[in-house]
Amino acid sequence: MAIDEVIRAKSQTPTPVVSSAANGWINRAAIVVVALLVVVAVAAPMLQLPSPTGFSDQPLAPPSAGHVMGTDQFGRDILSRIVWGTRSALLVAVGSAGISVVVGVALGSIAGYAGGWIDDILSRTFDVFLVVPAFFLLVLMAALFGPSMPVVMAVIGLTTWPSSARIMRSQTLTYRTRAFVDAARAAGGGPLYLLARHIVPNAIAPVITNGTVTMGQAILIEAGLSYLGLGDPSSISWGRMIFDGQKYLDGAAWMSIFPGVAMLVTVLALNLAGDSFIGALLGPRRRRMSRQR
Amino acid sequence: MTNPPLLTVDRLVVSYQGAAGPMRAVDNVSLALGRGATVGLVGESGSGKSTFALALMRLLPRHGWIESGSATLGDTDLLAMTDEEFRRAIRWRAMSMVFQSAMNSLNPVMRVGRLLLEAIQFHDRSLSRSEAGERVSELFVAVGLRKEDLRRYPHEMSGGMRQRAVIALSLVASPQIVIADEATTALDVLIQDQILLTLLELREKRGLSLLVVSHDIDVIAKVCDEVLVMYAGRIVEQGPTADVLRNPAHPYTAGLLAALPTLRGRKRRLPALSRRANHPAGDARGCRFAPLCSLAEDICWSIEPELPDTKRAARCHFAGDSRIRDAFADDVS
Amino acid sequence: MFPESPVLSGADLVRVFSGRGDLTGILGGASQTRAVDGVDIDLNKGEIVALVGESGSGKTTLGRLLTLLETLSSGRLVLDGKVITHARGRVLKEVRRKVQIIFQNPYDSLDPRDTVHRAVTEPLAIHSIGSRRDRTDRATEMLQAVGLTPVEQYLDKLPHELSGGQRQRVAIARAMVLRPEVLIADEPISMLDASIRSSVLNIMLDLRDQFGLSILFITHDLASARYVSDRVLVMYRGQIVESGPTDEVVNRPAHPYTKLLVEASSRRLARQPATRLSLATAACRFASRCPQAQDLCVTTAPPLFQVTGRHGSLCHFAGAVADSSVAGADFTSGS
Repeated sequence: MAIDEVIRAKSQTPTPVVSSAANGWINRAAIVVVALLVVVAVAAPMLQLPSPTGFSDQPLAPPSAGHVMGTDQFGRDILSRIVWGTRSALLVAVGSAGISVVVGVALGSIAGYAGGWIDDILSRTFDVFLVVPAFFLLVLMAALFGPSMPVVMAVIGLTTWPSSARIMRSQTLTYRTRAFVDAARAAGGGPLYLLARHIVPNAIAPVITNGTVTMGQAILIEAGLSYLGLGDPSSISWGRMIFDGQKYLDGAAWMSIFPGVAMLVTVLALNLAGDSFIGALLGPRRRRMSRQR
Repeated sequence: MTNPPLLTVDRLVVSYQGAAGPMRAVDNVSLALGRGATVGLVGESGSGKSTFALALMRLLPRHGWIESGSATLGDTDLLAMTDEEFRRAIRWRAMSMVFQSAMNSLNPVMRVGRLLLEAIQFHDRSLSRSEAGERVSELFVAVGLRKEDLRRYPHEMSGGMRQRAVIALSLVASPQIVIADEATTALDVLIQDQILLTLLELREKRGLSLLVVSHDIDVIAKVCDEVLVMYAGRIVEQGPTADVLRNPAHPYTAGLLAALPTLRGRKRRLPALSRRANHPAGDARGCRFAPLCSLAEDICWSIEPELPDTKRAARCHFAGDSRIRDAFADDVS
Repeated sequence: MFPESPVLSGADLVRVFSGRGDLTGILGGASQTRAVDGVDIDLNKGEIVALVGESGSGKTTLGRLLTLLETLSSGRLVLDGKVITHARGRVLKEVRRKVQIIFQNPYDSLDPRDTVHRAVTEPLAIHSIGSRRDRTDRATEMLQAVGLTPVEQYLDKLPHELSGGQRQRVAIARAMVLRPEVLIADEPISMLDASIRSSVLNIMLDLRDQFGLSILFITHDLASARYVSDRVLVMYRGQIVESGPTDEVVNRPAHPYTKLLVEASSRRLARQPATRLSLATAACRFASRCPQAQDLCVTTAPPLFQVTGRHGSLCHFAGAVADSSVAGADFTSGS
């Protein structure tokens, strides 16, 4: 038994027989929350809610049956604005993290596989980008190009990719010496083939986990920008809502509290769901390819 | 061996909680280890030999437990002890274990000498630093290392040297029994032989009893007086090593021996132990080895054979049948 | 016996590993290891050659050099009469088709995400050989040849659903599906259970017979080397210290290291002298562990001694070693 077990332990990512407590209900709850958020974002137009931009004659109304979360200074329904705000929050999250993961995986895997001077140059590049302060860059870009969603996503993505790249690089370093990669190389596979077909699919899991954390960060950064008035003015943003509510904190605290809670829950859920996502999406068990004849 | 054995294990049953309910990994295994004796436990992956060793040391993983049976060391009932009592009185002090992987789990930032010193002081707090230091040097020389090596870090030592250091570590509390679980498996043959010689020397000098757990029949043959052959959680054959190897009485042992390439004798095509038939009843009532056995008859599929309670025994309805040897190679010896 | 020229041959192969120029490299001085140090090797068509040595002897590196998975520091490789030492592009691709390798650890040599079908057809896909259907047929045929039957039951299995022995068969089938001329088998049985080993060894013999394959069988176990090979090379610290027809080397070892190996490959413990560290830098690399080491071994590197026409040993005292009997064993008639 021993020899077999040791080999298994060394060469396989462990698949726990019974999932540990830490990976239990909290993570499952987080996944449910994230799934709900996606549903809400997609279904926003179909929900029977007042228009998020429609003014009414009830400014600063407290939560009531008509307006569950109250209204803002223009009489707009807060719940509706939070629901529509989910869209921009998730858009920023997915867009930024997507850029971060794609750039990070591409450069990190090349650095790890190529080694030598290519690795040296790329690794130094990661280090340089890692110390660029994202927020000030954003403020600068917003000032230069005007505040818009693509600019926000691009800047967040381009300042967070080095962490993806570093993880990918070290993952690639361990996978490139694995026997199954050598076997594919001996069968004639070139570097790009090996990376795309064997290394990246097996090595990407922790990068994606890291990506979900980036999503949370992106939402917070976007909120911070909007709070400063540098967000995309045409979108409904939780950060902007908190900013607007600031002036009315005394009499109408709901204006800030509800978007704040929405943001907290979303960021927390994204961070907690990270690991479990990987298990669900990328575990080898689920990836049984259907064989084409 | 007229005096009673040091360690007696009687019908030990160990189970694991598997995905589909509890599974018996060790099924009614009995063993007697005399003072200064060397007993071998041989089996392949999944035979339960390592589980047996872990159960004796109370090192089973969380989802494993001892279901029934008894284990006594001298007059002490090992299974009646609490974990705390066992840890204080037995583990390391009376019985210690050397693993295959241990040589790769030495603390990399500690010189091996210091590691040993701390281990000795941990087990015997009355020792002064210089006394402990002397014990360390003694142990180091006993396992075939040089005193200069005490100042080395694990990565500065070869695999063989590290395994020797691990053996020294297992001896710090002067145990009576050392369980060697695949202790030489990762090493080259020549180094392996040196380490086995060292273990035998320690047995002579310190009166150690050795339980050698291995998948490698050659290792068992080199050092063990007696051997137990495990298959699917059960002992299928036991007896004096030389006799078991020369006259295997169980088809599994015979098949295993016949499948080994040797340096002597004429070359012949090696037989393979492969599945010949499926269990007709679809359950596991009969002999566990029947699906692989070329001699299986109706009785083998319906009644599981017993292991006779004798020194030389095989769990087979046809134990000792001349066909068992003939079914495999002609020149196994 | 082998009148044609060898399928694959290497001359004066050297592979040097040097420590990287990082901090540890600077502090420890520029350390260089000659993992493979001037090895000549020929593989003839349909021949199984065993490469025997302990870990760290360089045997795995030599195997990887022959597959061009490792870069040569110097030396010359010839495949089918063509120099492939610095093969690139199309030539390299041809080498990849003709020279294949299988690895020691069956738990590492298959992509955990690939089904058996995908793994075995992959080399064909890389070389764009045949249609999908052809590839499946060829994979099926090869899986049959390695005894993974009924094949249909295995095609959709993932590695974690297979035993070590089954995985190793899949790895062999994948290596064979391109119908290579040379197979480098790097310790293919050392991690398998004893009862499975013989069947993998038999597969090697059958593949040789069926496809006229040349195999370099890398192992640390002299007994399995004897079982499969026609010729054996014994490697010690980067050099081939003894080579010759397997039965001759096993029955009449002419190098003290081989002799010790023969003695240890029995069911008796081999008594060996303690390592003499004072001889660590001797001209002969084995001197520090050699029971027969003399002054000559310290000062002069041993020349190649021809015991017989095809049996050579890198030892000053090869003749005497060959004539003395192996301790603790009587090896009567070989074949």
